[in-house]
Formats: sequence, structure tokens, C-alpha cells
Amino acid sequence: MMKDIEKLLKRVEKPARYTGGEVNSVIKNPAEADVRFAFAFPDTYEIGMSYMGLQILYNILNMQDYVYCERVFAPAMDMEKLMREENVPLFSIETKTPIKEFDILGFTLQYEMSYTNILNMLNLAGIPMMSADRDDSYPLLVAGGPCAFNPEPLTDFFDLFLIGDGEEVLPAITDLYRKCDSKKEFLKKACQMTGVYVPSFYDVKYNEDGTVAAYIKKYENAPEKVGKCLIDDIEPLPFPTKNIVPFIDVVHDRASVESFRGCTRGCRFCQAGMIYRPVRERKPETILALAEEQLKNTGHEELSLLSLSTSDHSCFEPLALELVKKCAEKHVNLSLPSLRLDSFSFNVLNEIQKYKKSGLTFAPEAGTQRLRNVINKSITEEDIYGAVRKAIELGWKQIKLYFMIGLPTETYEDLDGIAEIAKNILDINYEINGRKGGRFNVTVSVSNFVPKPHTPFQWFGQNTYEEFIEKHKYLSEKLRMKNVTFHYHDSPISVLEAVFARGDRKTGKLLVQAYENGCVFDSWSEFFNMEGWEKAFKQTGLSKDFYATRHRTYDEVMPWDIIDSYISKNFLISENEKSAITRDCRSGCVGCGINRKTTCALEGINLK
Amino acid sequence: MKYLIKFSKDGMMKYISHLDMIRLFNRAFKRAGIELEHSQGFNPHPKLVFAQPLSLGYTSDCELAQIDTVEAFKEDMLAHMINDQMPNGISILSCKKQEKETKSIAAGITEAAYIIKLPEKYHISNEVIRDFISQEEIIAYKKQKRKKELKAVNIKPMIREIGISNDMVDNNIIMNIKIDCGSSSNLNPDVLLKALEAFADVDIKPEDIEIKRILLQ
Repeated sequence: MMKDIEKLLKRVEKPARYTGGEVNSVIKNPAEADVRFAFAFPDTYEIGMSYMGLQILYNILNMQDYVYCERVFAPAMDMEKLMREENVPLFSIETKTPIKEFDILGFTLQYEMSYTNILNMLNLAGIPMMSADRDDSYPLLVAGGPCAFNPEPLTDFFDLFLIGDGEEVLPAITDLYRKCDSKKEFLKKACQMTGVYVPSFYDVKYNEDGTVAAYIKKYENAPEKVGKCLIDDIEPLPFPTKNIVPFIDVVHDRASVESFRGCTRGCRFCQAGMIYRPVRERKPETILALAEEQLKNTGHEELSLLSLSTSDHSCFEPLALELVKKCAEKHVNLSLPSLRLDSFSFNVLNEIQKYKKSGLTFAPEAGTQRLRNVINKSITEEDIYGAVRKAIELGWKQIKLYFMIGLPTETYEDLDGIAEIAKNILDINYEINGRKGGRFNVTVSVSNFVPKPHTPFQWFGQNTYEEFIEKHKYLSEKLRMKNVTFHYHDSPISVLEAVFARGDRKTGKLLVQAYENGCVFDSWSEFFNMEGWEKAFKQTGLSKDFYATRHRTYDEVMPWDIIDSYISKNFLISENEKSAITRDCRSGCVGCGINRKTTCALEGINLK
Repeated sequence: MKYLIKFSKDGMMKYISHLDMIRLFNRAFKRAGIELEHSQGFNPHPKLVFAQPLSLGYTSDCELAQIDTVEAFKEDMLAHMINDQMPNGISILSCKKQEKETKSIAAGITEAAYIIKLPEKYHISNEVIRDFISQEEIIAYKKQKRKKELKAVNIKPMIREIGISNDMVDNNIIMNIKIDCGSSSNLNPDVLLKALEAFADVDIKPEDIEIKRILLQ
């Protein structure tokens, strides 16, 4: 096997994507492992190795002495072509073992548009894609990650899904696996565990209009609904300190410590803000110790904190000051993403970006206060302008703004608001630096809103592709200003995202058809093949509009209702109906329902 | 303190590019707790210089790097500390202390020797080599640094030695070359091989060939 692979390596770009042997990668004797687990990331090495979840789960699995977890990524197009020509099957990075020989193959689902890559990787591995076609000789196929909160488009392919926090359930699954004699026995036992969804134990009945009528259990002991795995306290969880250090440049090549999980802000469009509730923090001293240990073991030149909103950690200020000090001593760059720009953050940013001031980023998400209230994004224009003024005074030359278009209740006035904000920022710069204030740039990036399951906007019909195009055109005109750069994606990809984000089991056929039409690497604009997708819709008779642009009613059964995120439907409905701000739950419980399952450590802390 | 490090690169590490090697070494120093001096200025860089980049896919037992450390180390100790942090495929062969005024090693390099292993089926024989090297001029095409266009160059003056060993290894012939290497005159073995392929009218597949650097001075 190794010889066959070596032959290919001299003929491909970036061969080190496939060689392994990185510092801190785990070497075990495969013969001594009861369970061989292949952790699969359905995109290239550079993307997969930037994902911290891989390092977390790789670490946890390999801590079990009976498990050997190895990695596998989607080979790039040039490598794939050669592998097919030379009949080299998909192999693991660590020991170059054909993936087919593993016990468990686990995919992480980070993004809907990587789904065709999953089918392609199975094909390259010589594993039948349909779970019904696989007997016990094939690996067990499992999937987890945020997209598993609506697993329905992938139920034809996977034997089971793991919903929610993976640190405890994954080793529990490998342990159960080694104690079972058959896949059937294993699945029957596994479905009794919280967070485990075995799709083959359910049948879906549809109404005449194609909406879901009901889920019918085919195995009586399967749960009515699958609740997510929820770890009450992440502090004692093992966190990697011997991260794999890639040889080649990957997207995020740095030490990284998760400071907390979840978010209390409750933006109504945000899936992460709903499915990762409640907020669970690591103690500052734990974060510092983990960071120090990671830097020592990796030699990384950059450190970052990982969370949904860095400055929301309840001890952020002392933590940030300590990190700034430690990093300066060690010649390590500190990266603090998604800071709330108050005066403290400015001092920190000014310290860590002394000479190299990268752009300053704001995400107002919507152009008017009215619409920001509708989406529950509590940033005000005064907040933005105050921060921009301060930033310009401190010497920042680039301001980046992120917006979404196609949000519920949006009108063209809201789009005007986007241009207004850009113009006001330019005016502030003129005011401070004069008309010839030198190099200064405002970048406005607009993305198309994709309604996500388990959020208050899950019932909302997405804008049509034509509406998006119109809005892009309108904004391009409005933003034709000197020193303003306008970025948008004029691609129907957001329509497909919407189809799979809220897809039912029928969309699995669509995926297979699109794959057979040659669609892979859909998130790479150079490979995106809309004709292949259009054809697949025709061939399967499925309608884009049914999934993407159709407004759902509250009484409709959603395909993902089989999954319980513990956020109550009544809360989602009341949030969807509201056009005013709902407070951050640090100022008092908002009644989302998660506290029926756990204690919210941060609930009401601002009141005390 | 200045040190000259000699190291080898083989196995899977031959697929690691020059830029990746710089990152790999810097991280190894950090893990080993060896603090390097940094350059001055807005964007301080650790003081680490490699003598001459090795092409992707080549192995070597004579690579050279120069570092400037904040503290002094015993030579053997330093070699040991760095070696402990290296992945499989890179071995630190020695560390030699250098005078503070020592010039950058990159400037002192003038020649390199390589062993090239290629299958007998391409019929590159001693006769072919003799005819090849007796040409008045040997025209090869080199990539321009900036423009990326190919430019015709006479590489004959850059070839110091070229020959084929009498013994074969597993049906492979062994070619030995010594060529110009360094900032004033530099020839890449790939460029030489392309010229040889054109001359002998063969098309050597990249996966059939193995190249090892054995001398750099």
C-alpha cells in the first residue's frame, strides 16, 4: 500500500497532505487496537486540520487504550484522479490503511455543502454509500457535528448520528462497539444512549403535499425523540495539549483553547447560539494552563481563544491581560476573534496589533435598528460609530462590516441602511483625518441568509435566488463610493445550503443524483457545478422551492423534530413572533427551556 | 551565539517544502526551549538561515542551517535538544559553534553534489552522458525568478562533474553529478535532467527517479 501511495506522491501538489508523521500525531500498533476508528473530515487536509473539534475528539479517542483513531481527509482533485487511475483506495493518514478495513468511520458534519464529498470519499474507499447495502464486514458509519442537528438528508448513508457534545458519547460508543457481536445488536443498544440517533429505526410518513406527517418507530425501544448530548460542565473534560502540528500551511495553524461553549445573546438567525446552550465556561486558570501546555508541546507562533463570542467570558478582562503578557514574553502572536469593541478591547487590540493593524471587524448583520431588533442583534449604530471613531484615532485604516440579506421582514430601506452605515464611517474618517485622510477602506461583505433548523427563523421561506440577485445589484449601486469595497457571492449555493439545512429524507436521493452528475467540492467556487444540481432536481422531481423558499406553518412537522435540542418550540415561536430585543440571559432567564435539563451557570449573573 | 547545524532529510520528509522546513525548525526550537535572537524592526523574525533550499521530493544527508541563539549551549547538547524535537525523517548530524562575525552560510555555498537513481529502462548509459557533456553548449530552460517564463541558458559551465557508477542497484543506474549551487551561479538538478532527457529523447517519469544531495559546500 505504502509503495503504491509513494508512487503518487511525486506527481501531486502538496504531497504532505497525505504523508502524516506530523509532530504529535499518534502512533499505535493497529494490531493491538480493539477498535480502529477513522475520523473523516469531508474536505481537504488544510481545512480539516484547522478544525479544533478534530483535535479534541482525536485526543479523547486515542486516550482509550483499546482505540486507535486515525485521520482521513478528502483528497484534492489531482490526487483523487491518480488514486482512481492506479486503483489506490482511500487510506488513513497515520498508517496508510485502506479505510474499508476500519471498524468505525466517523464523519464530522460542519457544512451542508461538503455532503457530496462524503459520498465521494465512500466511493474512493470502496464502501457502498447506502447503509442498507452494507453488511457487517464494512465499517460502521457514524456522523456528528452541528449539521447532525438535522441529519435527515444523510439518513440513507449513515448507521447512526451523534447529536450534541461528543466528548463523552464517542468513547461510550466505541466501548459499546467492542462489546457487541453484530451491527444489529450494537445499534439496538446504542439507540438507548442519549444523543444517539439510529435512522433505520424510524420510518417517515409524508402528507400529500410532501411535508412530513409522522415518524413511525420500526424498533419499539427506540426513543420517541433523540435528545442531544449535553455535558453540564466542560471544565473537567480532557482538552488537547499535544495538538498535531501540521507540516504544511493550513487555514488556522495555531494553538487554540476553547474558553467557553454556547452563547447567551440569542440572535434569532444563529443556529450555534441555540444548539450549544447553555453557556459553559472554562476557568481562566485552566485556559491559561492549557494554552501554556499547548504552546510548549507544539511550538506554535500563534495562540487563539475559541468560543462564539470571545469577550463574553465572565472573566475576560483579567484573562486577556494575562494572555497578552504571556504571549509577548514568548514571541507568540495572540489572536482574539469576535471581540465586542468596548474601550477595554481596544486597549488589548492596540497592544497585540501594535504595528500590524489588521482590519477591524463589525457584524451589525442588518442595516437598520428596526431589523437588528427583529433578529435580536443588540448592537446599535452608536456602538459602531463610537468604536469606529476610537479605532480611526488609534490608527486603524480598514473597517470590515458583515451583513446578511434576505432576513425576515427585510425591505429595501434596510439595504439603504447598509450603505448609510458605510457612508457614515467614511465621514467619520474625513472628520478625523481630513478629506485627504490618506489610505482608508471600508469593506462591506454581504451574505445570503440561510434559515437554519432549531432557530426561531426555521419556519421562514428563504428569498429566491432572483431576489438575492436584485438585492446584490441594488447594493452594488448604493455602495459605489470611493474607498468602499463591496463583497458578495453571486452564487446559487445559498439555495442549496437552504435545501440541505432544512432537508428531509427525500433530499438524500437528490444528493446521490448530484454526486452522480459529477458534483463534488461544492463549497469551492472553482468546482461548483450548478448544472449538475439543476439536473439532479429534475431527475428526482424534487423542488428547490419546497425546501428553500417555502414558508412553513407552526403546525408542520419539521424533519428535524426527531432531534431535541432542549430549546422549547414555544420559545422559538415566541422569538420568531417578536420584533423587539430579548435580553441576554445573563440579565435574567428568557425561558428557552434548556434549564429543564441543566443548570445555567451564567443565568442572571449581571443582576448580582 | 551562532551555530551551524548539519542535518539529513529523508523518508516522508522529502515531501516537505523549504518554507515548511523553516516553520518546522522554528517550532522545534520553541518546543526545545531554545530561544533564538530576533531581527529588529516592525516584524521581528527569529534568526534562522538555511544554506540552500532543497527541492521538494529530494533527500539529503548534508543540509546546513545557521541559527543565532540567545543563550550559549554545548554543541552536542544543542544537537541533542533539537534532534529530540524533530519528526521522523530529519536527523541532526552535528552542531558547530561559529564566531560571531561569521558570514551567512548562504553566501559561502558554491557547489553541490547529488546521487540520482533511475531505472535502467531509460537507457541512460555512460556513452549517452559522454555525448551529452561533449556538446559545445548544453541548452536548458530555466524558470525566470520573477516572470515565470522559461529562458534558454547554456548550463555546460555549471556542470562540474557528471558520470555513471559501474554498479547498478535493483535495476537502477546511479548517476553522480556535481554542479554549481549558490547565489552567484546555481543549477537545479531537475533542469539538468530535463536537458538530458531532451538530448537522449526519453521521458523520465517523476515517480521513477530518486535524487539525494550528498554534498553542499
